[in-house]
Amino acid sequence: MDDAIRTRRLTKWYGKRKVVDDLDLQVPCGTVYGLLGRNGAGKSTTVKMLAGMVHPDAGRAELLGEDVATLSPATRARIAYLAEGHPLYTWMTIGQAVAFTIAFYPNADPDLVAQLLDHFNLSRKRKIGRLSKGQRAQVSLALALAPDPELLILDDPTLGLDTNVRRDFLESMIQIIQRRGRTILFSSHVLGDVERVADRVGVMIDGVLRVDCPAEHFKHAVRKVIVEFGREPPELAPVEGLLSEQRIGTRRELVFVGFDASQREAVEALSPKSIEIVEMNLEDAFIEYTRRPQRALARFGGNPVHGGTVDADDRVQGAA
Amino acid sequence: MRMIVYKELREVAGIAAAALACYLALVVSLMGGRVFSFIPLMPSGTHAVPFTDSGFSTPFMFITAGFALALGFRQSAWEAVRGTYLFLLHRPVQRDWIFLIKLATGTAVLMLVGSVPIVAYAWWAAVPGHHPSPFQWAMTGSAWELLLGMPILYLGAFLSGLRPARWYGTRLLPLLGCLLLCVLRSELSETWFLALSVPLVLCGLLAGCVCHVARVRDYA
Repeated sequence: MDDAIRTRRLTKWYGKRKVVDDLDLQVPCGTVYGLLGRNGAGKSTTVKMLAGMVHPDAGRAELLGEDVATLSPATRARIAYLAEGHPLYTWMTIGQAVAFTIAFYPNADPDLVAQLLDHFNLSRKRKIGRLSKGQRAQVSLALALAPDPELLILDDPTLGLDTNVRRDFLESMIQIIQRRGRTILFSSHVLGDVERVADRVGVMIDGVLRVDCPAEHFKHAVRKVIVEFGREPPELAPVEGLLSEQRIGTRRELVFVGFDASQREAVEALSPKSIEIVEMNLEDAFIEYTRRPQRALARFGGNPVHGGTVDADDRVQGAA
Repeated sequence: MRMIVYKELREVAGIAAAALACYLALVVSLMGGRVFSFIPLMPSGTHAVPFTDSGFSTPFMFITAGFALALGFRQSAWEAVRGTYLFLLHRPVQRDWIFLIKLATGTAVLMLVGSVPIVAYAWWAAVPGHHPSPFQWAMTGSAWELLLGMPILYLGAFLSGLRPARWYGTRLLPLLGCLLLCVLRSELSETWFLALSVPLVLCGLLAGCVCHVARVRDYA
């Protein structure tokens, strides 16, 4: 088994709206995969379909080589799932929640839970209903790790947490990653979090997985090009891969997917005074990539981005 | 499995305690106590022959029906509202088992707590000197029959709380259907065999519906 997660044409409709559209996703074992997207992009529905909480209308998903629709309890025991908002029984104390959880897993490691609770400075006597959001997230993580799962699926685990708690949570996640061969898929809004821990990212836009590549490749694939004219900037003819265009005085700021020879030629044809290529961080790249209406983005899957920054296995959907 | 039973018992303990308090008030009033005389429709005094008029059966029916409804909704809709299904259903247990354990626990609590006022009132009536009329345990038959029909209402409430629907009218359809079944059953069950077997069959069918809905619904 090479892939911990594999989906094939996974589709979900809510009424007349297709919230997840023909999703083909492969997450190799040992990968930390960050699933990105704006609100309503379909991340949460995708994660819930993977966890078996939402039934797809078409397509299928496999976790650890087993179809999610018929996932056996033995395989489910090897998978941890943290739902958005960390729903737990508020009347339980942390100790009761631990006892409740580990009762389902014969191989659970109570020492590991104790270590994690110590690390988070959480007393077993505290009631879950009286914990802060951050502490509840920490308890959720400790409970999820109790059975030493091979695969962790986390739905926006740092949502609503303050910076310090988020940092703490992420550091714990990094420690988990460093343990043997764990696979993690997590959805997030916080790009900085994804940049810190993910080695591969997927970007969903209106239910479609538009990007599926290593995080570094995505950052390098989206580029801002500042073109100085020293005069009234001329109009740029339609260029493949152009995401956005902004005119500021005598210059134009263009954002491209890739920025290859053909795109450079199109820009140079305008006889600019200078061309400056600016590297973007993941957050800027994400914002530039996702703010354009989805219909304007042409799909091209499996092909390398012009400029050769993306492998054949990777996928960045360029703009028309 | 044991932990799910424990969780369910802990979660319905408040409702069971409230029902028990209502039953206690009813039985104490029937025994002649005036502590709860301020409650509307609460019977008072010991003048009626126990279990033969509506003094016991009407309030008992309303309290038990309310108890069954509260129990059913608490065990199903509450988890959906709080989002805890996402935590519970990821445990490595077949989904059908989780729901069957919930139903078995709820039914057991309903029957055990519901039997307390019948036993208490019958025991009081059976002790000579308490009541100026003869008493036989067979006189409790109609009360037991009423109680045996209540799991149908409980399962209807559970199904209504579990089943997604666009608005409250359609959401409550299973409950209304079960209410109708309860009425029909009370008309049918003239013998003990029917009084036992009809609710049992209906409960089996409703438990099957609950498992089916639990399997096919989305926990979004």
